[in-house]
Amino acid sequence: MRMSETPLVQAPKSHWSVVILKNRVMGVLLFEVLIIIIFSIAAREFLTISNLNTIFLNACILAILACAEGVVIITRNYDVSVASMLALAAFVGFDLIKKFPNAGPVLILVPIGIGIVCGLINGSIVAYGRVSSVFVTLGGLSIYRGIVTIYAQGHQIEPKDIADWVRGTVTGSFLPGISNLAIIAILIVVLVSIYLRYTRIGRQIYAIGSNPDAATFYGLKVSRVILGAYVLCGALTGLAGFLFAARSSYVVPWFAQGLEMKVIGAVVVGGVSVLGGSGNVVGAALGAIVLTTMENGLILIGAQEVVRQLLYGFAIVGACILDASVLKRVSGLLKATKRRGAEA
Amino acid sequence: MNDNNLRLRINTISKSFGGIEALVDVSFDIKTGEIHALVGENGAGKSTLVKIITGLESPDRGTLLLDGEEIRFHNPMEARAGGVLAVYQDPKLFPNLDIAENVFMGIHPKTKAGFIDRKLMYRKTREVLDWLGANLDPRAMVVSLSTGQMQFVEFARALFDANEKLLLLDEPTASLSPNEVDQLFGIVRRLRDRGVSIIFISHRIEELFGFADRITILRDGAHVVTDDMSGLSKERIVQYMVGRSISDFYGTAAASQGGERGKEGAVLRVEQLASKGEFSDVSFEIYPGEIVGMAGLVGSGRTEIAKAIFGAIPLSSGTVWIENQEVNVKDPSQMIEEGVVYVPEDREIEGLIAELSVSDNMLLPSVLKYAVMGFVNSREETKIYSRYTDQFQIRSAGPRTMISSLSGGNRQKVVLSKWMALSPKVFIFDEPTHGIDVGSKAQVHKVIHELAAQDIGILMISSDLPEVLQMSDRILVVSDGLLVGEFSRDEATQEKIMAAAVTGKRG
Repeated sequence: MRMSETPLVQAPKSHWSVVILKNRVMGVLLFEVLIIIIFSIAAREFLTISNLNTIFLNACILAILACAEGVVIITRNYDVSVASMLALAAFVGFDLIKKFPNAGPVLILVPIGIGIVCGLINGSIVAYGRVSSVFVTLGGLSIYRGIVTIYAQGHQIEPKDIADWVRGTVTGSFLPGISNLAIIAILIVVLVSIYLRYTRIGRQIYAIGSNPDAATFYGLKVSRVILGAYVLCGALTGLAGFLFAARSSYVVPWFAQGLEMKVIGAVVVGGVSVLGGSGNVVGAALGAIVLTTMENGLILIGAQEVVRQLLYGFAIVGACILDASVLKRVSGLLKATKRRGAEA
Repeated sequence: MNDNNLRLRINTISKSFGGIEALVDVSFDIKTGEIHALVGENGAGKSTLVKIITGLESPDRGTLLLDGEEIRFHNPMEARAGGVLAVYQDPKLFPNLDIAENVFMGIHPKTKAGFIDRKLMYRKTREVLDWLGANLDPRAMVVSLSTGQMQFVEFARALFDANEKLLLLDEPTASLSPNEVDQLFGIVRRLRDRGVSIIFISHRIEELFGFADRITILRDGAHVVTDDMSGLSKERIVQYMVGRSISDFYGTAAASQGGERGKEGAVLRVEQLASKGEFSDVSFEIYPGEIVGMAGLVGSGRTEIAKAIFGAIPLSSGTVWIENQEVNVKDPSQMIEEGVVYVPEDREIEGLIAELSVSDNMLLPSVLKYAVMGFVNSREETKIYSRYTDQFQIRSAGPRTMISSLSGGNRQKVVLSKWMALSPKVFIFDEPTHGIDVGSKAQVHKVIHELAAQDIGILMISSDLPEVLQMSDRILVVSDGLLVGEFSRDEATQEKIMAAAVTGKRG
């Protein structure tokens, strides 16, 4: 089929920034190995099966949330209302579990449904109202928190209010040796990851984040896909709310307050670009494990809360700077090639 | 014409945007298996026509018949399904996805289970890239490609399923190297031989000879002529492109006098200006009271030259003198102090702030000059407002009137007022009359002449050739980031300017 003997358009050579862009997950994994080594040396109790197990279980809920947030960030949008959404879903869900003790596991759909409704609200304002997602969801952060506070009327959910089947969902072991919580988290990350990689909508989520204008020219339904990303985020957040509440056995109106920072931190540390279109949810989940590992290790070496906060901050800012410098190199490459084209 | 031979009939298509007519009753036919060139000046309506055919815009009136059946696509996906595809000048791609993903976005092949068949996607991409003669890895990220290579990715997307009937190419050669242009022409010829019809938009008229079969020329949104390429000369084509008669209202203002010559007398002198990747080796001077027109195609670097002199984009080398004093250009606020004023093309966004009142906008750049301890002096504000509403005959209900309630021409005059309040020496206008009505246009021209009469040097960038010819004492022509021509008022003609702008050679 080839017409010209010597092809005139040559294959490009890969630049280091492009290589990083393509292999972010490997980088996160290496970073995790590095901090495990550091903490193993610093704290005797760190490298034990039971401690590593604790880290993993602690990371599970954060990983689900990072996965949810990751989908939204890949579309070049943000959802900073996840923690409030989670509290609302968990509180209302558990209140109904308390009030209808005989309804059983079907009530798991309540927190998920609440998450979906919140996602629909956030998503439709962002996608169809064309309002900046940070501000819409910042409003959501206040509103959902306000609603749960009003709903609670000063009450809280205590361990005695929680049915046995609820606790079983997180502490039980459907498969011998592995906690249900771990299975659920792994399943979600794998499923969302497959969805993003092997479905048309999944690929469009990346395309929209990568270049929204081109997406319009391609005829993609940009608004609908963004709305979908928020709804998926909401549903997973609702589910995470249920699991988190079941694990902690206490739900108060200020449940999980401030968690959104940790979630976004996990996503960013996991190599999802805050400018959209790049990274994946496996990375985001790994980011959750990295943050949890740091938290655990720092506690073991006796670091104070404030030190932990500082280190999270540095990890997040550091990841963003790396991200920005890669993108700067990449856009520099783009400009350079354009210039070459113009001068030729 | 034989109906079997007819691919697309464009039938009395009209389209206007906010009262400005982009296309007026345009009708012509595209034959099966022909390369049909579509040319016209900037703003002639070529791109609008492409957008209408591919469903990105819908026409106000008129119909399109593809192979005898009426079509009206609502988006490019529908157009694609109907066999109508477009490749744009600046590639619209997803930089952090790989080539195959870009080729198949939105139309990924699926397995029986409903998942994307990635293997098939990479194989098909490989095949179509081979057919195009492009040695590119389907897994390479688009960000690492050159613009020329990106163009081939666009082609791959347009062609991989081989059901195309009509291919629209909007200035595909603008950013290609000569080798890549040859290769692209080869591809287009092979497509034609396969029976595909191609609409080929280009500003490089020479390249159309021996390549295109027929040509259609648009001017001011109207169809001028459709003819065999062999039946037209380059001169004739340029004439058709620019040949409108010069309207009466241009001639009213008195020609401004040139001022004394000798480089020392220049109010603005620039030497060897360059900005990396934008323009290079630009030298010229403007004398007090002189109007210098700057012509050239959109994207030729005109705006960038102006912005660089104004300090809005960095200069990589060169010197700027204002009234024979060398100036180290840093940023716009410094250049405003030096007496250089730049009135941007998009006055809605850059020139005025729509949410503020008329007097707020007038005082925007000079507010500190008239402020007392940081607070706006409202008496000065009223004074300035009444001075300029009088001088420029601005129709506004009062200083607190919102700028958005003014007509286009009046807004333009508010832009002038706000800069006049700084007592400038050099005025740079970028497309001062683009998209405003005829009456306001005459007003703006009057204002420019008035400024020149006050010994202000004026650089006027315009794509409107009759305007350039009528207003300017001298005309500079920019092509591909270089000054390629300078014409005095007497020697300048539309044909000469257009030829210089298009070919990059002094016509």
